[in-house]
Amino acid sequence: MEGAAEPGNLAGVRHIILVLSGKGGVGKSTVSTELALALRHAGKKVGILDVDLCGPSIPRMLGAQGRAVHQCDRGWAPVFLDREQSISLMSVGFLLEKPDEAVVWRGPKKNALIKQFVSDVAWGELDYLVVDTPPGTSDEHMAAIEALRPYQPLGALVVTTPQAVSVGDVRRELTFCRKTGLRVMGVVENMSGFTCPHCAECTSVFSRGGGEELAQLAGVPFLGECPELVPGSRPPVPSLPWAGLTSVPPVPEGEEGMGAVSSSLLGPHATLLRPVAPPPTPFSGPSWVAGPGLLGGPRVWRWKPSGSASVLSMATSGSGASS
Amino acid sequence: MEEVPHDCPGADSAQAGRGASCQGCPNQRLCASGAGATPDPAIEEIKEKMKTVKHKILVLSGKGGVGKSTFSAHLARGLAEDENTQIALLDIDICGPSIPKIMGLEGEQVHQSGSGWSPVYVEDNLGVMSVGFLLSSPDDAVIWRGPKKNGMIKQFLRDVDWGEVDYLIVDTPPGTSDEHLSVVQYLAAAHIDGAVIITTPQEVSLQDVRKEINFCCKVKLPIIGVVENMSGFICPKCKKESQIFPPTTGGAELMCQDLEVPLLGRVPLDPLIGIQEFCNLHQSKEENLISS
Repeated sequence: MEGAAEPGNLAGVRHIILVLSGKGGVGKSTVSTELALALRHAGKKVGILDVDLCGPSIPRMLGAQGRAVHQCDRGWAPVFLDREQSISLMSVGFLLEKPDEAVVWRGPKKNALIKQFVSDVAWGELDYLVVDTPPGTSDEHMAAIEALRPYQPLGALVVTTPQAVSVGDVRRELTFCRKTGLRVMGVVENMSGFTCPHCAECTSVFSRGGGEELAQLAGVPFLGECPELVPGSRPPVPSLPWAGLTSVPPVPEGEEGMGAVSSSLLGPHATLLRPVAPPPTPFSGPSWVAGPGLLGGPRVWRWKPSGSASVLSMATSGSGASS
Repeated sequence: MEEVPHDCPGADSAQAGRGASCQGCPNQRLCASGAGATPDPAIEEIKEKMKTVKHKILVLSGKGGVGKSTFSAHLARGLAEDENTQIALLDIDICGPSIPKIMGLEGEQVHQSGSGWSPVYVEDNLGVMSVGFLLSSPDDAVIWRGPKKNGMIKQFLRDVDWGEVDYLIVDTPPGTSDEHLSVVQYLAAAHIDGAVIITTPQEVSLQDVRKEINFCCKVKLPIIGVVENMSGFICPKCKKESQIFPPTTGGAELMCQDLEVPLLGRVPLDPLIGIQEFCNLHQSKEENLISS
């Protein structure tokens, strides 16, 4: 990987993945968080860089609100979720005096902070850096890509929801990726359906099929859909004690859980890591199985590997049931 | 609340370009030269233009995907049901313009007349303007930095021939950045009635919406109230209600109580809204009217 070996920069980061969507509210931060947790579960050291300066969601999603950023001899120390330092975070959320404080900045100031996040944070040795972005195709995105370009990001995971108004915005994001030379690793369709906790009927709350059609239209891999929104009323993840990730629901073993997507990155059939992957045949992309969600309630994703008749459903007890 | 954001002193501040937080800002030299202190002449021009607009409402949310554009479109259509009321819907989400699709106006073009740009009329009394009408293809991405987006917003406010309008509804992108600062700045002299803030019930939305409320206070924008969208889902099969986005921290109701802003109401999640056919429904209705 290129980049001067200066202390505090990204020289020690092996792979960088940006999570993008032209549309807001499709689940970029959720996907970023769960991908990072799954990669960690696979034994990797992961960092999450949150460049959504106006709406930083990552600290809350990982129960790290209120944590402070400290200076070290190599720059800013990222916030570590555990003593093993297997997950490190950086977000403007950690720099605010109050959680409700608005970051009312124009583009140049946002650009400057994002550059600092890249150059001044002592990320150290990481296997993966997941970069969570805000919606759109503007300052934050351009600043992030410019700052990360010397480190040759792996590419972008593009998140959408099925409905036309999301797909309409995400098409523009795919154009943005093309114009900036950022490889699209695949399209993920989130919020594909909702299973009623009362009668188990699955309803396409936000229409259906948009993600697959989008991927086909753009000639990029369709990584799969998250068929179910999160039902139920499980309490949110409380603030994590320094002692460890005891409050975070565990990601299940093996191919279940977000491990399914991380396997696409890591495993023997790691198509996402190949420099040039031909687009898959239509509608053959895998769906996912995920472990318990972070935001309250179990999150049930069905894994349907390409060409396989087997379906691995979530093994954890109480999955899919409202609590 | 502070008058200005306490990190950036503001382009018109005495400390502009000179403060410690200005170090590294690309506009530092410009601000230090005092150029930022000169009021933009467009503000007066927009004030003149807005004299024919009786009420101006911004639809905001710190969070993306909560239904700002959907709400704006529904509000505009609802107000336009009174044929004697002239409604204008302005979409200043430059990177993700959803209004043309939601209103069934994709593919429409903006025309220029002697009195400025003509909005696209979906009804006789409902005109719409969006950057979406200026793009030649649905795949075109608007990859602009802040200043260029600000310039487009200025043109939308100054150069569009809205005519006599009772309500101007402005749909905004998520966040608290260039677009929001610009629209508030450009309309400052023209008086904005207030902002309607959209949220969904879950905490990850509410935490961004609190920031938006904070932003409104900082820029002295009155808050008309908060609307909680996607609040409950009725299963089409068993008709029982579920919470897809559970209000684990009290939802918008508790947030509004804490921050002393009105809760205008709750809107449930309707699967019909998502489908393309819904966007086309209004287009079909118009076509039916024309053909009949």
